[in-house]
Amino acid sequence: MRYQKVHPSPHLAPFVACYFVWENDAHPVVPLRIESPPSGFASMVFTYGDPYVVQTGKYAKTAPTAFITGQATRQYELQLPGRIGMVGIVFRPAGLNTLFGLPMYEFTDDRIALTDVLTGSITYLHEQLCECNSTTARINLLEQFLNRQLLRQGNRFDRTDFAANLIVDRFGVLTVSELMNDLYVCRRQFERQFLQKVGVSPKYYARIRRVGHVCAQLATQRWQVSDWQDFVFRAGYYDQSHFIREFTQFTGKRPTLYVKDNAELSQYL
Amino acid sequence: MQTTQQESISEMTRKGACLAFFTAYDDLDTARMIGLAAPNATVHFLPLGEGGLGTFWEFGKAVWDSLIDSFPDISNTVDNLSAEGDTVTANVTIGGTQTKEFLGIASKGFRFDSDHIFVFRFNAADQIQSLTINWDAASFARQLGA
Repeated sequence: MRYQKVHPSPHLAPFVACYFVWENDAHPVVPLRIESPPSGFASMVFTYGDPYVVQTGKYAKTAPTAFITGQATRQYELQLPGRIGMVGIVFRPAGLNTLFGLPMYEFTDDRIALTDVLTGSITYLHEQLCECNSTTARINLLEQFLNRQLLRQGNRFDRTDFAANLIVDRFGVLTVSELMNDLYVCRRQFERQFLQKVGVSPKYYARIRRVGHVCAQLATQRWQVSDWQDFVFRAGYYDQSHFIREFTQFTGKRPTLYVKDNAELSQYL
Repeated sequence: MQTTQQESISEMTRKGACLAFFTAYDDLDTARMIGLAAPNATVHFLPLGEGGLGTFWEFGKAVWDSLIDSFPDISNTVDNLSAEGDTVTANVTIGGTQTKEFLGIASKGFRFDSDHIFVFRFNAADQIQSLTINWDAASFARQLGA
């Protein structure tokens, strides 16, 4: 199993968090089931391996071979019965909107086929990605694709991109009022633009980011937490019950159960 | 494959309609809100029980007009929208300051902020066919000093 992350070129960094490649060589003996908590990032994914199923609280369906997915607000599970082969772009929270002009609330908790959303060369790009025989070649193709899009759209990085990236950088530990004071914007206008560009409200996004970061930390620490009180406080929660309520809402599991039998994607990172 | 594409595009249109509903609500424009619904659409304000069920165009408009009259600065924040089939669920935070009596709660000038869940069901013409709205009525009353 290989899961590799690649940083984008500096001029794309305000819009793109990373590229990723996820592969395995052989068919697993039993289908792989991997959970993923809400991460706070949207992505564009191209598959060149076998089809796989995405299970959420709402549905279980085969993922399109090339798709865009917006913010996840709940934990989801990937069921991978065969050979894994996928490459993708993980966008900063407002990056997909800024580069492609897509209304991101349409993609929240969903995977929409790229051919339904982007016209023109997207099918050709997918074919090229399938034909590549190295990770470097695939990443180069994706970077060229984004470069062309950036040239076409122009650099439309704005205060919503800035605010969303700030929430990411501070792991969701800040308030909407603090953000608005920094940006000198009216709340209503800010919230509407944020919903359009990120897919959820700023307050809700900060909650997603906080939980996503907590899950990543738990995975990094191999689920060994010696002092929960300190962990909870540093993650930006008022107290333990606040943490448990938030964690359970977004992951569908209580923290102790999550730590006990977690099989999430981040352990492969 | 064609059917799947049509479904996903249709869901996208419906999320847009929900957003238009909340934008109209934020603009205190009840005529625009009800204009998104079919003439025979229904609305159910769940915490009000059977008395909270009625037609979208008449009963719904009357409730929203009354809300706007009692909370002139009422506003909403759409936290997220999720679609499944002909249904779109919206998590919305609504807040406002009371200036007049509302549903038997006398005005003490207090403000409420409350999480609401709106469940929209659409017809084939992408009009709202039914809407159910739920919120924590006890917390709402408590915040207003009832």
